[in-house]
Amino acid sequence: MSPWEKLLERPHSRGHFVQLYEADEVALTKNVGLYLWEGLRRGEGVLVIVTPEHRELFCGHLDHLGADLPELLGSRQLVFWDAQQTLAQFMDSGEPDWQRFESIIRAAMRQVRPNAGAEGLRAYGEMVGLLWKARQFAAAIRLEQLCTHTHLVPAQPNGTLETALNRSMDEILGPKADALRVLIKANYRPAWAVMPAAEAIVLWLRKNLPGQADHIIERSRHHYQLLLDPAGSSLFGER
Amino acid sequence: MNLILFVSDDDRENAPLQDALTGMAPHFRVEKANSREQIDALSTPALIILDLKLSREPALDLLRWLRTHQRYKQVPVFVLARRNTDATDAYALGANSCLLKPSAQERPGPIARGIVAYASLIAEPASV
Repeated sequence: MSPWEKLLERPHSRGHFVQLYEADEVALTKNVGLYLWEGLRRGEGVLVIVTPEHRELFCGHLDHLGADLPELLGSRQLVFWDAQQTLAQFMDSGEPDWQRFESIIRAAMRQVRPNAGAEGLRAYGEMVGLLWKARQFAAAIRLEQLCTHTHLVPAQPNGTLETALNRSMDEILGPKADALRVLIKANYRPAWAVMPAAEAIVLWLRKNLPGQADHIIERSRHHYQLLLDPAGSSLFGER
Repeated sequence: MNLILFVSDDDRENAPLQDALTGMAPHFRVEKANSREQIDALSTPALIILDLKLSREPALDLLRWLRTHQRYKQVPVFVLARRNTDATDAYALGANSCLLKPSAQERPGPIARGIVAYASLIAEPASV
């Protein structure tokens, strides 16, 4: 078994893969089928958000591998959602909306039931692919980031990072920082509608104040550490 | 004196923001232009604010020209847009920031203050 197949069988917790498939339906069916089937065999819940064509394709492959589809679907260990319909529920003016995305995906995940005694959930979705196919490249990239962020960026540390950045801006830019915050907030960027505030600040600084951005971000790292671990602040020499 | 260049030909709509900038930026000269010729006739600005609704030529063409012109390609350009799609196109052509146009009811003061703060951070010390 190749290392890639091993990874599909037992992905790391909170892992996130991208399967590129454009014209290679055979590779898609084989890789996604292996990923889903291994999860089902382990009793994990499996959420699949795909086009109707691929639903048929994957069901056929899972059936071929020995899956009892009526049982899996009936117990909700395996749940299919339609990719286009799901996408429509969290897109807003051509961009994925972070909060709606989170809400919809959480609702989908709540429907899935792992076997008794098992835990874990595997998900496969084609919504990014649909956006890419429709040439909505920026939205596709943003959604791909959201899929990653959903697992990796909890809300609280992101709020903490925003606080750290604001403190750092105050220290380095002085009274101008307040006025700049208004400008950053007013700055419209298609994907920023769904971007956490801290990320928006960092991108704005990098694009518009490259001379000061590194200094501000470096200083905010220090504030971030202090905010997360006030007791350890003496390591950094100041509070 | 450093220059903030306001590229617009809609005096009625943009006057409140332009006036607010002039009032808040005593260290800047705020000039208006609405064509390449008028822009070239002025000194190199510290910041360009470009209204995406121009009547003499498409503003995105003007933005493309600014971004390829030796004299202006390093100058930050903030665009004023009315629609999200305009903003997307402007970013693709190299706009630094995009501000959705304030409505007639919105006071331009806070945005103008932000623009002035930004301009003063990026401006070279005035040579004269």
